[in-house]
Amino acid sequence: MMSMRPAKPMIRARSVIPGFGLTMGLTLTWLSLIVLIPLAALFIKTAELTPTQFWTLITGSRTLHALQLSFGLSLVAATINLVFGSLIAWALVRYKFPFRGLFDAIVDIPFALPTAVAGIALTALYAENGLFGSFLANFGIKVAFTPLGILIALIFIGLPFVVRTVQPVLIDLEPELEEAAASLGANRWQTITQVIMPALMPAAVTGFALAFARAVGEYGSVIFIAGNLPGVSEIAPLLIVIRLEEYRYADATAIAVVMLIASFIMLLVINWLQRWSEKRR
Amino acid sequence: MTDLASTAMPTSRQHVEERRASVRTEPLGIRIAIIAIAIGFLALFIILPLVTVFIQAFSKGATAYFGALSDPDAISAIRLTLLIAAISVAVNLVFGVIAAWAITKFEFPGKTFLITLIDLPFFRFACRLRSRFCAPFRRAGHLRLLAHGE
Repeated sequence: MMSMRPAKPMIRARSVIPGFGLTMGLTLTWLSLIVLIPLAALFIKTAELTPTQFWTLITGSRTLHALQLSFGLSLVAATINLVFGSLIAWALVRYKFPFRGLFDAIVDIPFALPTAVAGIALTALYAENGLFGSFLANFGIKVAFTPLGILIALIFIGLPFVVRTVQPVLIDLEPELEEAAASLGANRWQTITQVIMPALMPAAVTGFALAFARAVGEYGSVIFIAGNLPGVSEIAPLLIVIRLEEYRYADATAIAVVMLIASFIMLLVINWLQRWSEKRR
Repeated sequence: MTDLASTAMPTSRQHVEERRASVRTEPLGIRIAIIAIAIGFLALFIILPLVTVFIQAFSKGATAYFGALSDPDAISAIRLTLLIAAISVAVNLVFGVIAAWAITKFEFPGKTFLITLIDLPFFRFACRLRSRFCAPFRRAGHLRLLAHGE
């Protein structure tokens, strides 16, 4: 006389909050249309190559250098943005200074400015006859048309991601947390490193990941300042465009697939680490 | 006795308030240094390039600038850009909020995978939505979202 219990749904969250089926269905549909189907086409096109062809293409010195340059510089730029973006968010939230609102608004400019315009403006500044370029040339530092120029462009486009992810968390941080730390005898440095920084970490890591993802795929602002010398300052997205213009579509998609998989794995690890650290707390 | 208490109370409360504020801030020198670094970084990487854009736009005078703006090609390009931007922002706003709801309110297998798919640079605006909405979303109830949603 055992009555069958109704089977538990596998996925449905035991939550009183409504809308799981609706929001999940719409999200997956939308994601498929905008992301998954175009990406599937990318993989299908690449599948025209045999594995040996694919491997030869990817390990060619020009392609390999472009990939290394794109990922390496994006990582450096995202790290610089992580440090200075968090600092800017801190200054904007915690301190009062003249024109604070203006500086706050200016952070969003790289979101809004067309990337090509940004690229031309940065090139004008850092070229050897530009304002900074001529100054730095005195010390023998060339910025425009070198990898250093690419780095500047990647820092420019990635900065708002870190500031805008850290800022809201900093605003919401309860003052009691810091007061409790102080009342327990922590000095200010200890409070910042052991109480505030762990609370900011998930948001900062999200900002870092977004800045990195954006930098890896960046094209418009980089091509003007990079100089685009194959093997020196040629980024992977540009190489894809070059291959497309040569009607070598499979070559182009092969590079794209490598970039896609690499950045996807890096983002996946970052997202997984972040969720793990959130659950642990 | 009552006089003494009533005069003593505000001073001590004021003292407490001052202490409370002082444990949550840094020495003046450090504050100035952090503000200087923040403004310096913004000036170097954002404000100066922006100023350069304006200088170049007006380098041939205001008449040339407005002449270039009234070019029919320029007008139609600007109109198209604004129209497309308006439509895509509206669409992404709707689907971004829906996706944020699905991600933050429920637990399901493959969630990290889904978040990463949404993070792909191809979905750039959703990234932005996610960063703006989920930070407050993730940490507290949905009322927070109403308070912070833009």
